[in-house]
Amino acid sequence: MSQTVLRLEDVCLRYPAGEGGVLRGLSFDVQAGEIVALLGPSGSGKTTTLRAIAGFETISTGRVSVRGTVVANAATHTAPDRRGLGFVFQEQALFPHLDVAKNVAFGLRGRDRGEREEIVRNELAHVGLGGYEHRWPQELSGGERQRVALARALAPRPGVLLMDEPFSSLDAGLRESIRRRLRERLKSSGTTVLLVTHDQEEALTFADRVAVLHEGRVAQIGAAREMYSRPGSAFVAQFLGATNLFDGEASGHEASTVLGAVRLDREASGWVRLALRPEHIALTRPEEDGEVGIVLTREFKGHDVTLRVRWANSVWIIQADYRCEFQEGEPVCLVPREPAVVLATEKR
Amino acid sequence: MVVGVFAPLGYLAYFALTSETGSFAFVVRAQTLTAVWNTFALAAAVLFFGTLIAAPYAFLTTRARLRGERLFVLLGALPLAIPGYVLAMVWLGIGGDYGLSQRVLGVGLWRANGFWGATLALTVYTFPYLFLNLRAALTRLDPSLAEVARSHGLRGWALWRAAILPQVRAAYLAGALLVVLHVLADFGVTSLMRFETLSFAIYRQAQGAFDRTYAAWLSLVLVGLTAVLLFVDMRFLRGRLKPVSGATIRFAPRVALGRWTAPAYLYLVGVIGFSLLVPVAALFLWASQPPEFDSVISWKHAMRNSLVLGVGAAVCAPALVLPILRVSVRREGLWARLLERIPYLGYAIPPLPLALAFVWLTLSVVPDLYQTLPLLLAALLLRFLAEAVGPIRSLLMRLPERVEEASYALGFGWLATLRRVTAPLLRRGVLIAMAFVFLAVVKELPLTLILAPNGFDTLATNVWTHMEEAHFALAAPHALAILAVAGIFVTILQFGEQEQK
Repeated sequence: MSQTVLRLEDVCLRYPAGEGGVLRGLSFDVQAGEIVALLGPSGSGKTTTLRAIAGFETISTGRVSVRGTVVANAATHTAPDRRGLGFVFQEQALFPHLDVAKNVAFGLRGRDRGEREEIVRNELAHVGLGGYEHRWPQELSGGERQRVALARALAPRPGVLLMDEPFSSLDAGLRESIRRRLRERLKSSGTTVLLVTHDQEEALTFADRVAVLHEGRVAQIGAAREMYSRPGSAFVAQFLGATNLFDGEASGHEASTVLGAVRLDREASGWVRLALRPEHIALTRPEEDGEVGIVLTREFKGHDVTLRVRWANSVWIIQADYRCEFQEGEPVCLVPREPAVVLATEKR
Repeated sequence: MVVGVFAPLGYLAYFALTSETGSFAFVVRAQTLTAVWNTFALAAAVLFFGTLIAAPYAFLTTRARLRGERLFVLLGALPLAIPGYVLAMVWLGIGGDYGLSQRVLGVGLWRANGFWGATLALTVYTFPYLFLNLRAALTRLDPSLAEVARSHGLRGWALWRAAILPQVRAAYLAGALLVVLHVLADFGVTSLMRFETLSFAIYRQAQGAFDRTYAAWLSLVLVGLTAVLLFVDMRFLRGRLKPVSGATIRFAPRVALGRWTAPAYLYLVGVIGFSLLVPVAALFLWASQPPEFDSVISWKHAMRNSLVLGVGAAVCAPALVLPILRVSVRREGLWARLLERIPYLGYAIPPLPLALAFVWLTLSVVPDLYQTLPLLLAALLLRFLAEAVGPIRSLLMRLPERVEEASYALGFGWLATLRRVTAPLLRRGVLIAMAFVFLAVVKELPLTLILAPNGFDTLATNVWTHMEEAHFALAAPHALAILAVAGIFVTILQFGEQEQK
């Protein structure tokens, strides 16, 4: 039986007139020991959500609870320092008047000096900055600062950690290794994590569950794999990676579409909007009397190939493996490999 | 704070408008017109001669090959530390039949007074504003513009007019505004030199003739003139001529002076001698004379009072400025910008009308406050809050809100955050701000003179009252004490600047 650590219920946040970035009835939970990623385009309210949970923003209506205690609603606002949440800032926000070691040790209380030094050394080693103790924030690169900020937030071993784009300044190779090690550590210590990111791949690999935000609301929340393969709306489908959207007339578990008869992931009837991921479509040689598509472009990416195919007056993106032999200008036929996902009708 | 400025001024206007004698003919009479004319003439003369001194000085210290440039820059800024009324005192005492030069050198010089005396003292006092502004502009000069002009065949004066003067114009006008504001506000120099500008006329009406209505009207005229000046500056001059190409960090090559080297050094040394060495030497000569009676007690007393005022204001100012700036630096929009302007209100209003307005307002509304230390301190704070804005603002801009939030997120409350993060980061700015306010208060004359409690003599008021009776030997120690305080202040600032690097 897991315990709910963070709970947001119908949270609204309005700024004084003229400013954007508002929350409009946001609800979701984070369970103990779970890693949840908030994903969304810029301006969707990711950072604002995180800051509202931490107490840096005051919510207008709704309710935020931490470990079962209400910390914010229309009437109350618990100060950030009394919420017991760790926070990693996108801007790093290192203390410019303290060196790296003192920055990391800032939140350590009630420990003797030796113990503090030990923790600082371990934390810095963990983010690959061993020996940086006496450097100054001004001397560090953006990536190094970000790792110090991580170490500072982790040093007091917070039970709940809020992270705002914590890996954005790291270069690709380092990002992956830091992310992997951090995930291992957070999982073994049972830390509850809420992470803001705009990188869908990061959200899918790092988090247990992903919440996609759209205009201040949760568009969909669910397990990473589930979200990717069964998005609920066109917005979520497109946001979690390239996708092909098309219409079909459904009846039961099948629909008739421009691809012919297509299997569906659930029962439906009437006109529906459908989605198929690029790797869920196979390319075959066209039959004599069937419909024919034309390969428009072919991008070789090493381990796989991305093709754009004109089929029935629209352009389809197909992800094929390295053995794909279709060249630009050649005729092809599209065949679904997986059931198409039935999307909820978008509210206009 | 807004109330603090507008309540007295509002009362001033109310007082002037409701008095029975307040008619058009009453205000527009020969005396008023003379005072206005004198004020304008003095401002024009000070600006003219100040430019004459400052422009070559700025050119030589930025664009010419020169030894000891840094020293000349520092010495060129130092006259700012000598209050105008001390300079007035010095030049009053040097010339004339019984003047210092007659006694020491045996040479009788022209005795400075009236229009030319006021021009002399105020020019020496204010030319550093022009010099520093011009210097800043000339250092930042974008050489590519001159190169473009040259490639179009311009040379000599035409080159200057096309490519260099436009770049310097904005800075010059900013400096000129400061100079004119100082002349409008000046009371110490014009009163000692007996030259009837608006400020001095206001004082004479208020204290001597006790014609309060007329004094109130004159005050309104002076405040009005200042407001017009500030409006013109804001409306037409600000934001013009900002550099377009931002990338150039190249410096224009310096001019070799050749046979002009000796005259150039002579000129620089001459300016410094005139503005610094002569005044200081004269003060020492007077101070070394045996006093006519024991003045050590009064000196100690005045020193203590000046320190009380200075320290009091210096401690209060950052506490008042910080909350305002915290909001204005971190928020955007019209209100934040207006908020930031508040400290400048008291700074822009000439001190004499402000002082009189305070007197009349307290006398008629809260007589118990009249001539009390808290009222004086409040008036001084209102006037010099702006001095504290610059240094604190620049440090606050480098302390993003996120840094404080990082401390909250690690579980520290606002008090612990203030102690561990905010205070250490702002300490230097606050210290510099305190030094600015302290120096301004110690130098200040009209507000202290009019609002101080009975018997509360400060160094500044003592210089002035002794000078009213031409007691040079008595005034000199007080003036020297002010200069010593100013010297310490400059040292602190230099120290702070070096530490920042």
